Amino acid sequence: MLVDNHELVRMSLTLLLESCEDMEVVAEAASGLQAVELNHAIRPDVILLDLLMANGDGVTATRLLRDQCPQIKILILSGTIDYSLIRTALQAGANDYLIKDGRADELISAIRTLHWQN
Amino acid sequence: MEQHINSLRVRIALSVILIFLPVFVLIGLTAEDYRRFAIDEAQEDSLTLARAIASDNLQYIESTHHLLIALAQLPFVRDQIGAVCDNTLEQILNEYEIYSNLFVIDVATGQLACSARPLSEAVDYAETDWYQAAVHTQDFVISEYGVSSGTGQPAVTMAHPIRHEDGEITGVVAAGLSLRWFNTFTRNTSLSSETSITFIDNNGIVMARYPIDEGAIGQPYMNETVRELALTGEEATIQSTGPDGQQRLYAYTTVGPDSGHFHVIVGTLESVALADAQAIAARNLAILSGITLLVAVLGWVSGGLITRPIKSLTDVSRQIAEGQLSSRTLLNTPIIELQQLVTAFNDMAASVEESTLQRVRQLNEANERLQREIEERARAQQAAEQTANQLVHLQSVTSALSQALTVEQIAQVTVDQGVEVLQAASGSLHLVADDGESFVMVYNTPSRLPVETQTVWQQYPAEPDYPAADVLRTGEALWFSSAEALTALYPTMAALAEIYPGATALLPLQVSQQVIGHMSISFLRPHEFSQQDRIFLFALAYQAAQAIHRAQLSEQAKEASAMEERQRLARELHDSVSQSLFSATAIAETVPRIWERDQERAMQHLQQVITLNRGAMAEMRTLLLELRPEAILNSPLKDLLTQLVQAARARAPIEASLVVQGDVEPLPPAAHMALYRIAQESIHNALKHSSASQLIIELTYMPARVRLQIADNGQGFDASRTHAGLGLGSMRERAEQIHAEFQIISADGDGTTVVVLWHQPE
Repeated sequence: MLVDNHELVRMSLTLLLESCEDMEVVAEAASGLQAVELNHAIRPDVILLDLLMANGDGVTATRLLRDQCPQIKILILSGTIDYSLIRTALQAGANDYLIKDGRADELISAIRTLHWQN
Repeated sequence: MEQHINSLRVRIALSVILIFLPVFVLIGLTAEDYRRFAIDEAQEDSLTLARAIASDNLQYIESTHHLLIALAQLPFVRDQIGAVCDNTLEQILNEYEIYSNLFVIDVATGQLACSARPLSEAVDYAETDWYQAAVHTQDFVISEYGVSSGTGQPAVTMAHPIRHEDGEITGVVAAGLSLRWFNTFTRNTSLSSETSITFIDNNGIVMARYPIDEGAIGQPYMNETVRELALTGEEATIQSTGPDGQQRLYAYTTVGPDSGHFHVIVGTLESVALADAQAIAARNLAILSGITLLVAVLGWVSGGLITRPIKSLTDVSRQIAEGQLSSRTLLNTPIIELQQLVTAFNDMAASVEESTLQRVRQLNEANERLQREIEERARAQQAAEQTANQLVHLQSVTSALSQALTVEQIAQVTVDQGVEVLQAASGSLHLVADDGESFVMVYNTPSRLPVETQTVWQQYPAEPDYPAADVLRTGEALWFSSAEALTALYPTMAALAEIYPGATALLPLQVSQQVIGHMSISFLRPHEFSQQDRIFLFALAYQAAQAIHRAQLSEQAKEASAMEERQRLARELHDSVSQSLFSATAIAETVPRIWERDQERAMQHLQQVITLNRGAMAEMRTLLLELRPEAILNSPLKDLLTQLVQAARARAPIEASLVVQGDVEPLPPAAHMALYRIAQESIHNALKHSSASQLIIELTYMPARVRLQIADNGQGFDASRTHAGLGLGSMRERAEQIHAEFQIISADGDGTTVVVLWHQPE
């Protein structure tokens, strides 16, 4: 599931991820709250979550998603390099994080790694 | 002269004389009464005398009448028997001295028949008046004055007819009355020589006169007035001027029956008659004059008794008036009241002296007070002028501070003014450093200090060695009137004393009870800081502190604003450019992965990458414009809108387009900016909130009007309700500022259209 308030980002990420045969974008959410709702319904394997969003920021969404589903894999994908924020997100329950720098291999690799983790 | 008349003594003497004046008048009136009375009395006396003489004479006449009647009865007289008749007559004549002769006239011859005294010649009496009257009247007659023809002496003849037994008149017996009888009469009368007695006959001829004046006998009476009055036969008195020119009193009466036989006139010198009265008047006058003089002299003397003390008092008064306040009169006077006056005067003089001296003392004190007040006023005036001058400077400081933008400028303005107004040598302004433990110099006047010393003061610690530390700690100003006063408390400052041997003041710069620094003013010479100096410097320091505070706040605000702007730009970058570039990169990453499988799709992705990059560039340009707002004004509106449309395409998968119609022409800056911002905000709203797939921006140039319309086909909203966060208020406000019509047309699910219609101002 992709969680980002920018439609363009969601669109481009969908194009990228669906170019990989082992991945499917099962849902897109424009905010943290929407993500929590969709997660409840869809139960994706991995969630790509932006941190800076209106209507439900990434950290809060992480905490809620983790509470909702302790096994869920949450990968923070954010443009920020504010490590205090990233640290907070990790403490809230995120499994890993990546900077939005557009390196596709790294992203795909991180998703696969998470997915196959126990 | 007037002074003499006005003197008290003269006035007393004159008063005495004036008091006696009525008495003098009375005496004069009395003397007049006396005179009148004396005249009346003298006239009465004269008349009485005249009457007495007349009476005597009448008696003589009567006697003579009787004698002649008796003689006419004698036979030898009646018969005119010569010798016997003569002898008889002679004998009778000898008995009566008053007769000059007794004689008988024979009617038949008119000649003398017999006579007591023999006549020397024959006399014819037939023609004489008295004879004819006697024969004619056959009665007793008296002749007028005449000279006896028998004796040749002046005489008056009285005659009586001799009637014979048969009744026939045969003769006339006559008696010549000698006028010498008068002498006999007067001899027995004590008359003054100034009294005259005169007999006149019916012709006014003087018959006799006393005192004897032979020359007057036989002549008409000299005083014609009196003579005429006497001849009227009445008796009266009269005042008349005598022949000798002297005023006389006359009394006249008639002797004899009817018109009389003759008249008696008594004349008296008026002066003699008045002699007594005048003597009495003179005596009274003399006595009164004596008394008057005596009283006047007494008045003069007693006036002296009064005036001498008065003069003494006057002299002393004058001396006191001339300033000899201790002058007193030592005069003793027997007059109790005056002595009391003298004593009272001396008491008064003493009182005047004391009160005057007291007054003088008070006056001196008042003068001193006045002097002090004048000096104080002058000082106050000087202080006021100084204050006014300082106020002017403060005002100029305020004015300068309003221009001053930086803390350094503020420090320079205030310190320079402080130095100039107090005519000090130098000044500086330090602020507390951020660490709160040292002072950093912001400004100092061009200094005489050596460079190394100046360097020390660029930043120095707030330690107790320095007075500024105490200023920082207490918030109180420090005033040192001399270098000695400074070094006494702060020995480490002794090094400075060589360079600044004068006074120094340190004033805290306080903002809300917090000391943010201090201002120092130094002198080359000792200087006492007056109240005005202190107030001025306090005011200056206050203004400086406030201005610095404001400048710092402004600086902070600017920094905050810049920070905010940076954050905004960061957000924008995050929201737009960075997302666009990420998306473009991600899509570009996709292309090689699918190139083998689906080249057509890969080409579409490449086209998307190009679009995203263009949009990113457009967004980047838009953001750069925000960093340099004047560039917005320098760019054509059409280009700006094109950029916004391109950027919109990069931000969202939306079909955005711009339509420009009409003749493009530059707009006024305000309208240009307002239309750009409204378009920017509307596009932003459309991208962020509308979920629209289409966005059309129309810019239409019409004559004197420009219309801007931004329309999307998104979800819309209820335009009748307020919507925070859409920036609708600020758009409306921008439209109002350029007097443009502004309209938002929207409804739920029906897209949004924003229209702005701007009119060229007339």
